[in-house]
Amino acid sequence: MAEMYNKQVYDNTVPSDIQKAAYDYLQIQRWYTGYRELPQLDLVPAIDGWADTTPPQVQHSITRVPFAARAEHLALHPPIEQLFNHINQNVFDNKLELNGLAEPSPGLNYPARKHVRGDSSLTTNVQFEDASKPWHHEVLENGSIAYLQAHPYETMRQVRVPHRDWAFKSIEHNDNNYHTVMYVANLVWKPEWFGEFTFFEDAQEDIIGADYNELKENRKVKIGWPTDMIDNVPGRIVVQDGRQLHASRAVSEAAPEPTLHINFRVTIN
Amino acid sequence: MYKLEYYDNQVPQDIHVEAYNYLQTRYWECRLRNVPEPGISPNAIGADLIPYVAKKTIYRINFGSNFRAIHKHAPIGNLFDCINSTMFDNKFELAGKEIGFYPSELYPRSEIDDFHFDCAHVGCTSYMQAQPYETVKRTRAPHRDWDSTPLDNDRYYTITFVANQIWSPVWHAEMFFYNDTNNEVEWDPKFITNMPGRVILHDSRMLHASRPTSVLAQELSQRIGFRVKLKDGRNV
Repeated sequence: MAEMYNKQVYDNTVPSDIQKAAYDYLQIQRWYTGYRELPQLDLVPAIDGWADTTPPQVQHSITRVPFAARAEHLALHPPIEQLFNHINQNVFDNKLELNGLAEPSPGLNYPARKHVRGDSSLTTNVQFEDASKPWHHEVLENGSIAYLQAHPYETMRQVRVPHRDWAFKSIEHNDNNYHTVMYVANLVWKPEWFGEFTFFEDAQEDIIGADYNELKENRKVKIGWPTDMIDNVPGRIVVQDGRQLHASRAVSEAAPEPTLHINFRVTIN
Repeated sequence: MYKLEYYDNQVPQDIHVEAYNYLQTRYWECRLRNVPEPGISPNAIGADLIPYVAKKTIYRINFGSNFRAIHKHAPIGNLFDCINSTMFDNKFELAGKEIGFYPSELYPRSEIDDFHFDCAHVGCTSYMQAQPYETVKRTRAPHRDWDSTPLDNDRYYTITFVANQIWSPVWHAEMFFYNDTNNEVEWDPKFITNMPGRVILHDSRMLHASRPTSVLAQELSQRIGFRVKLKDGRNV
């Protein structure tokens, strides 16, 4: 029997003025992303054998905006701090502490190729806005414990493989102290735009394909079948044990914007 | 609430293997379509510079629209007979709502036989459907297997058989099934994974969508669909 980890969903708990302030704040931030090349599609039988009909493409990785490497940094982003304080006070009875496991930002922390908007040439250096401020250096070095995560079109970006929420640090598998609080910052969303969360059980044995994680992400987990899906409902809060395997799914082309998830990596006292 | 059920380990392995192998020898047809250029990330570094490319629609193989036609594709006919007799007591006939079929724009048609051409113009009630990579094909919006028939008609169903012989949880390609109220899609759909050999039965009126295959997959999701109708006097 696979172990079940804690995850909870809360709707209609964040007032609309706090939602709007956070959303508007995201629109004026710099968003960072990385790039990678996709394999060609060669899985379709054709008259002359197996077809290879799709040209290689450059695709997005995930898009992120870092807000804080430490809890003190959140004060630099008042709408995000206001959101966190509201969630902490009203949903979690002030039991959250913003000291969880940091997450890097592609295009920022990764040694990946980056673009600058409006410039089609690939560059190897991205200037982090206001890079002279000390907190930026900490984000660059350690990653973020509060950040925006945006998922573009499914045709622009592949779904990430299921993973646990620790990338930079190695923690014990049975450590139940770390949680991720995810807030859906979109003000408008429809079920048919997708962008859902999928939760997976831990596999008791290797399942074909699941060793990709070990090979590419170094997170060393055995991935089982999906157990739950949670839609991208505006204002929704999802809290999950950091050990819970999950994946954020890409959105439909019909969506007018990406899914906007503000994540807080926390411990719960 | 419309009827939705799924069954595992009901189709004998030899029938499953024959059907799968047959799919690998057939033409898979699809079309190209235009994709809007992205431009949805404000103030982004690197957000909107993906080059424009044409994308593909879903892949399909047409097996015909009646009992006679499907048995020209013996492994598919055997599969239908097996499912209908052993799981549903022969209560269904292949007379459901036909699915539209589009001739390929990508491949020469020299291998497509006369039978195939006949079906191409009338749609079909049995077919294979393969979901390409997520980065190649968008997810179709939730839809009914239905056109203009009144929603109080409860005689039509869709049987889906997962023809893949292996599948991984990380290859995705799940099917989503939605409740709806007055044609409004509801949140948090039921999902059914692409488990090899799985048989899914759903009321053709039920809103559903198929998610694409992950780029990590070793093959595309391959599902054989049967659009069926309850025989007169029979009920589910």
